Amino acid sequence: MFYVELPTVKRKPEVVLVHVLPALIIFAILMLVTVWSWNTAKQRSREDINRALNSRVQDSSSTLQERMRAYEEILRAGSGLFTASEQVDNEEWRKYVTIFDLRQRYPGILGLGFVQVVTPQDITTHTEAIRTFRPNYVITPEGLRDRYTSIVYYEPSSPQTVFGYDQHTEPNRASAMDYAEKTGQVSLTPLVYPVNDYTKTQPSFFMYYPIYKKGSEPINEQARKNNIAGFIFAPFRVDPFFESLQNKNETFFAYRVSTGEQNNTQRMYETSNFAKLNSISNKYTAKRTLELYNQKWNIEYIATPDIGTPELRQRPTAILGSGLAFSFIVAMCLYAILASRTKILAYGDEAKIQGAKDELLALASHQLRTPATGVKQYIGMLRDGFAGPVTKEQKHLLNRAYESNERQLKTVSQMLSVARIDADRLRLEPIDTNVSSMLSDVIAEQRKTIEEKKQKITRHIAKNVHAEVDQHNFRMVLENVINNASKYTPTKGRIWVTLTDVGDNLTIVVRDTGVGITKDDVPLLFKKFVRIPNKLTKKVSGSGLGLYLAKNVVESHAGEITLEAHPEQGLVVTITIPKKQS
Amino acid sequence: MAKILIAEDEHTLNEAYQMILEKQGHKVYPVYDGLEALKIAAKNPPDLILLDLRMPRLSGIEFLKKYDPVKNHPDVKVIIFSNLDMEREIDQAYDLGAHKYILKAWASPTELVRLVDEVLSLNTAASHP
Repeated sequence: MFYVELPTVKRKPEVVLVHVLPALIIFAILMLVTVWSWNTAKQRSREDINRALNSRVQDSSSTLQERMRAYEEILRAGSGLFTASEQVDNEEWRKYVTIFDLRQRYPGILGLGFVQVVTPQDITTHTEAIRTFRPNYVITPEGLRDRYTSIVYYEPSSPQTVFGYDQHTEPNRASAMDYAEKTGQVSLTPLVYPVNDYTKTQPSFFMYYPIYKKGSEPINEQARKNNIAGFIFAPFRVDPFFESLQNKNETFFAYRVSTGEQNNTQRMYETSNFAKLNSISNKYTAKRTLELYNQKWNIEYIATPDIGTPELRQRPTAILGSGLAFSFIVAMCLYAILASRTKILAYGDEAKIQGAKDELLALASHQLRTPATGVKQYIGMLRDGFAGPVTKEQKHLLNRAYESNERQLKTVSQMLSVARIDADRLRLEPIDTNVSSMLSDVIAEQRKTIEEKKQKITRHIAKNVHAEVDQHNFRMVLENVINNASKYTPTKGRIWVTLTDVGDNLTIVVRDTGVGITKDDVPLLFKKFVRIPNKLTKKVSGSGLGLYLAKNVVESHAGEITLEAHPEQGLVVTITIPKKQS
Repeated sequence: MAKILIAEDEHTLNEAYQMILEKQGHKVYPVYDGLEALKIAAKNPPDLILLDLRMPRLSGIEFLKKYDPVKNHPDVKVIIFSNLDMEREIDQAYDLGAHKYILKAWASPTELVRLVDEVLSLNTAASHP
């Protein structure tokens, strides 16, 4: 067996970097610009959010301070009532408080009261006077003190237990009252609880304003202490007070208020969303200390990014998304342009190379054929009697010479076809063909060779089976297969040729009683220049190209060609092709 | 018998074709390039031209362009007789008025005689593809 594998021309690996690298560089540059823009937008968004938070904090503080000033005015007006009236009684106080419509117009304030300062020697007179309109009045808690500051009036009306309570007996209230007394100004308590809030569930604070004895105009601390007559006071429940200041739709904003100095602070209030907002990672915070009269309220503010301008807040994500998409699209476009340009150039080069190859092959074939054609003509003339009769022996010799020359011509044509197949340049022109006739013609052409070997050929050819085939190439396939059957079958052997119409396909089977093949040899037979050694290969000639061409031509017709050893003897070649080419 | 112009630059082949066709009684005009073919065809209008494609001075295709059998010589038959197996040139030759193309290598003397007779008997009007 000889086997020659023609070297295949390998294409240069595509220089991927030529179009990938520029695209990657452009992508990287655009992404750098995108990231820079994204970072700048994020910075701007952060600044905007901080600005929004500070503005909101300022609003919140201003609202709180304005509200406190409004309450202060009510207390100051109450002192005016005492200054203007000879004797303020319970009814006058009720009417005065009613005017303010506290619940509606001053949310957060619970009521307005008056605490009278009583010396121990005046207790009896004071108690009797008050009992004229409040029969169960008694100063609580009991006990001897330098002076008593018990609640005399309070509106809106409260449980009787409130009246008579000496507020000075509770230290936080006492310190606020003392501050108001000695300064003549409004004062606040820290966090306290109402007298009757035994479970301490209603955190509150009190506001006091001092009233001095009628006609006195105390100008210093001592004078104010000597002339103190009582206090106007207002209690505030912490929760409703702060809730009244809140905008409940602001889910993105929260705060917490505590009173006192650094090491001694007491939590007063926090908005319901404070804990939730405090737990998020991208929160924004601010702190303020409000000096309200004698108290310091420390307020911690928290906001989510939602407090910022929506456009600015969404801009970084939009920039990143659109930048990424833009970079990708530009890079892909660049890649596509470069790749297609490279392809066009490559295809152009390839087409030129293939065109030149085709021409070279055709010219080479032309040059190889021409001398052999001359031999064919002259030997043919002798053989066919153009130069007079020849003897039987001469004719035999001329036939051998003629056939040898024919083989050479055939090999040249086959090599040209192989070269075209290898270069994907085999052009098929399928046209409607009577394959039954074509097959019969081919058998007729080979009859002489078959008869010379005394072989018996049996035909079962369905009539008028048509298919779309390239006539030149498909005929060459049939010639090869039938010629092989005869060549590799010994003298007096048998050949069967069958053509069957099977719906959309046709099948041609050529069976012989020749040397056959083994299973392992089947793939080798379809390779170029392969001949399997057997007892006939030395006697018969062949190029080793016939089956390679047959396989390629049949497959180019979307068909299939198979070889198998017949169980009894010989080879079975089966060709199946569709009748219509798509 | 017909007047046949043999345009074939390969002397050995040209001579062989002369012998074969003369044996059949045809009047043969052998030329060895396209330009000469034009001259002889003008001087002695042939019934059939056996035309090679690859020839010096004027190729077979160039000869057909100038001679223009479709327009100027509708009665003259043209057989392209070449060993050149290039589809582009074969298609072009048919377009320019050739009646038949045959690979020289496949035609034996007897086949050549049969082919010439076949083409000479063609009805001109129907023969162009």
